[in-house]
Amino acid sequence: MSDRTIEDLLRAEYFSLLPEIRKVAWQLETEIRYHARATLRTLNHYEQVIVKSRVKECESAIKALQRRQEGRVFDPERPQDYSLLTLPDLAGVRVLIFPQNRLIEIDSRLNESFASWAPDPVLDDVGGVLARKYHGHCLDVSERVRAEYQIVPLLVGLFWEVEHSAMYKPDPSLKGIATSSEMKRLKAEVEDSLSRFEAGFGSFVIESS
Amino acid sequence: MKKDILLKAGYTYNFDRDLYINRAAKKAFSLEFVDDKPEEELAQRVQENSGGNGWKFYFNSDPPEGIRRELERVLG
Repeated sequence: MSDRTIEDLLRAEYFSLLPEIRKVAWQLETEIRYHARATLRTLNHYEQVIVKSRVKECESAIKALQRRQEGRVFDPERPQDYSLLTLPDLAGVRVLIFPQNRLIEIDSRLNESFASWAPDPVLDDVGGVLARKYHGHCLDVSERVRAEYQIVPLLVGLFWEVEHSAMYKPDPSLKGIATSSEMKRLKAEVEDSLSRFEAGFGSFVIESS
Repeated sequence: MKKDILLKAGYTYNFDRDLYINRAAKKAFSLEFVDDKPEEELAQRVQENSGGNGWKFYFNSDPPEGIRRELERVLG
């Protein structure tokens, strides 16, 4: 067995893949902007669409792979079992949209252009769709690196940016915050409230037009 | 609740490994196992004697030797 740990081997894999992951992120962002252009050109002043791409960071990718193992450890005797290429989101694009009717419009346009991508929606506790998420490949630039795009209500998405780093990737002193039932309840309440505001605003726009 | 069954039996939650562990009983339950199994089965497993000196791991997928050794090392 190699002296290098599985984490070391995965770091080496990550940096060999990084140029390809970057290309996928850029390609996906460009394609999404292109396919959404008809909506982007006609936004009213109160409407917003923000398109952001990201490359999953090295340690975040390794932790994500580790979280997929029961017991959250790698088997040091089976390094060949692990590859970052099994992750569905090494490259990602998040499209934040306000209000909801524009979200539905862009989601529909992208569905036509990314018909082969697999849906994997983000659900709330009662099965409602909080955000739409899709996984697939940008075959023009990579057949190996899997990518993800998310269509997210803008207010919920901005909340997640704060919540994700505070709760999902917390400071060591806040360990356990993500599993706290009180914090889970508060998070669900915020998401529900923001979702209802976005839906209500969207309905008002439709009724007024 | 499943969590109460484990806490009452002296288990603590290990946030790094997502395991409920009881060092005295040398038993560990994965989060996946706890989520997927019914309360009755969980209560039964909590009560059963692990029957050995080493750790007993209750996982959905039986952990291979390498994983067992690694977990025994990190759990102490």
